[in-house]
Amino acid sequence: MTIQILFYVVFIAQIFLLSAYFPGRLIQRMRFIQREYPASSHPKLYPKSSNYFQKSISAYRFINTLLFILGLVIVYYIYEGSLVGEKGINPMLPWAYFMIQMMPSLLLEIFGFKMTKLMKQEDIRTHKSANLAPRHLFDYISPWLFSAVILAYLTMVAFAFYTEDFKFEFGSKAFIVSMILLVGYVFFFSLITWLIRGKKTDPYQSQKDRTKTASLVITTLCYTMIACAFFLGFSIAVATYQLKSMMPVAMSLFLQFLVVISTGFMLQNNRLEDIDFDVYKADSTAK
Amino acid sequence: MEITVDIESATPMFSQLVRQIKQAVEHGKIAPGDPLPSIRQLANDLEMNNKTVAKAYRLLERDSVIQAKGYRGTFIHPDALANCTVDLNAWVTKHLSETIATFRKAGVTDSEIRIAFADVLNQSIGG
Repeated sequence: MTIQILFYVVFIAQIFLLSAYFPGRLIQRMRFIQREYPASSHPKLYPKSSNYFQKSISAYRFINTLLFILGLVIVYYIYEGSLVGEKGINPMLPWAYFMIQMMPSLLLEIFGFKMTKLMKQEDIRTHKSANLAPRHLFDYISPWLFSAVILAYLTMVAFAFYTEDFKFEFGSKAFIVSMILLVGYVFFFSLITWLIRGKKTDPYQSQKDRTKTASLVITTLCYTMIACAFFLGFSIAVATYQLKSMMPVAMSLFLQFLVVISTGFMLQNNRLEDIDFDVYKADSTAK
Repeated sequence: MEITVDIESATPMFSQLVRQIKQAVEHGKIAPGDPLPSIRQLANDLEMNNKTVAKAYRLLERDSVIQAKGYRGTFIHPDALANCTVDLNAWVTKHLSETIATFRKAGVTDSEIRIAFADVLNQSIGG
C-alpha cells in the first residue's frame, strides 16, 4: 500500500513535470522570442510567418493540456483498480505514458527542423565561412565527464556479471543488457559526432552560439548515458533481489530524471539573453 | 582563423580555399604544426562537396604547405611559409612561355606546337 501511495506521488509529479511545468517554460521561452525579436525586426527567424509560429505554440500547448488530462485519467483508473493487475501496477505504465508525453516535444523538434530547412532555402548569401580549426570532443566536454560515461558503463557491466557470479555466457541476462547499453552508447556517440562535425542546421547561427548549444547538448547526452547505465543496473538489481514492486516508482523517477537532465539542463543553461539574435535581422551580414 | 568562400565567384572554390590557406600561413594567422579541420568538417561548414575540399587539400599537400598524418589529421607543414611563396602555376606559365617563344622563333606554327604538346602530354600520361 505504501508503495502504491509513493507511486501516486511520483506519477503525479511525472504528469505535472512533463505535461505542465516544462511545456510551460518552453512556451514562455517561445513567447519571449516572439515579443523581443518580432518578425518585423528579425524576419529571418520566421521563414514561414509569425502567425505560423504562433499556431505551433498554440498546438503545442493544446496537446500538452490533453496529455495532462490523460495523466489524471490514468491516476483515476489506477485508484479505481482498473489499471492494477494481480502483481500490482505494471512498471511499463509510466514508460508508456512518458512516450505519449514526449510526442509534443517530438512535434516541436520536427517543427524546428522544418524551420531551419526553410531558412536554408531562403538563405541567399553567397559567402560561406568556416573556422580553420578542428573540433574535438574535449572542446565541448571535460575529460572527467567522458571518463564518468565510460566508468558508468563498466560499472554496470561489472555489476551485471557480478549478479551472475561472473559466468560469461552468450545469451545470459548480463550479456544481453551489456549489449543493449553498448548499442545505446554507439547511438549517442554517433549523435555526438554529428553534432561536432555535422552540417549546420541553422544557417544564420553564429559560431559561438553553435559551439555553446552543441556543448550543452553533448553534456546532456553524457548525463543521459550515465543515467541509462545506472537505471539498467537498477533493473538487474530489481530482477535479482526481488524488488519488482519498486519498479513502477523507479521507472517514473528515472524518466523524470532524464527530462530534468536534458530539457531542464538546456532551459537553465541556454539562456535566451546570451543568444545572438542579431543574425536574424533583415540587414544582417552574418556568414 | 576564419576562411570565407564566395560560391558565385568565377574563381573555383578549391582555388579560393588554397589561396586563403596560403595567405593565412603567409600572414602568420596559422603557424607550422597547427592542425587543420578534417575534409568532412570543413566541407560541412562551408556547405560544399567533400571532393572540393579534398582537391584543395591535395594541392596544398603537393605544394608542401600542409601534411597529412594519417588518423591524427592534417597539419600545417614545417616549411609551409617558404613553400607558400612558390606558385607552381606561375612557374609552369613562365617556362611554357619561354619554350613557346623559342619554338616560334624557330618557325614552328602554333598548330604544330599544340599537336606536339598534346602528344607529349598524352605519352607521359600513357607511360
